[in-house]
Amino acid sequence: MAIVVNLDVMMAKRKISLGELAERIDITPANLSILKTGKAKAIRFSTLEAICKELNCQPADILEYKEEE
Amino acid sequence: MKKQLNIICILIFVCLGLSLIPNVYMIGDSFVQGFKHGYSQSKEASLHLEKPQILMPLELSLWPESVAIAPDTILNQKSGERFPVQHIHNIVWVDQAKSDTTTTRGLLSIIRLIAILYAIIQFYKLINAINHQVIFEWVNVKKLNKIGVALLLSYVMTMLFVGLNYLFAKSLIEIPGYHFNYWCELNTVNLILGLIALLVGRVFAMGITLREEQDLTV
Repeated sequence: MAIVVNLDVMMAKRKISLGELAERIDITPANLSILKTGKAKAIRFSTLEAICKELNCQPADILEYKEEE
Repeated sequence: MKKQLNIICILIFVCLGLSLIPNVYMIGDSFVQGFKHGYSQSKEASLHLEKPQILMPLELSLWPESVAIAPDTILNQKSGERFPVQHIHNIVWVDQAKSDTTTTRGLLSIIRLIAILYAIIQFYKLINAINHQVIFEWVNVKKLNKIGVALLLSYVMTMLFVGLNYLFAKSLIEIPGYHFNYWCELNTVNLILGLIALLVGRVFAMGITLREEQDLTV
């Protein structure tokens, strides 16, 4: 997929685990894992807002566009 | 809702069964009559050291050259009077030796029958899966595709069979006041049902794709 999710990078920077982040933003660890591993087809604005608020970052820090070869 | 689904499926099978009864009876009766006739002819021919003449039924689909003129008549036993009549669908018995497409037509009939039976089995499996709450799954899309393809195949086999029948009849027979009608024999029910099955399969596939996308929305 052309959109690359760099959530694991931000989580490592903020030193927070998957389970903890999932609890704080009120989604299941399974769903957050889907996002982290790049399997998600879409993300709600509400979820993106919650992640950015918790990790104190911008959407661009989590989502990156890479042109497919 | 499950009850309604099952009632509709039972009605489909009942209607299918009822529509097949005349064909099954005709096939069975034709087989028995043909066997008896062939056996007696063969026995008689062997007494005279001759090659038996085997007759086979040939369906003729006719259309009168003029609808206003009825060249034939039919006797009404009740009143003793004769009514003008026009023949549309007849069966004539012709010498099998005159046909070089008997085997081909037999094969086409067998393939058609197998295709229809396969479609019925896949339909039963589909309904069984739905009854077990397996509805919008890729296995059901495959079943619907198989039903569609099987019905389309049966239609193609029917078309080829009727076409060969028509060509053979035209080469052998000429009936004054009538010409052969190919188009009336083409029954498009299987074609339409096959296309509907493929269409429903596509709709299922679109639904499953949307559901998967929804499931993978965080």
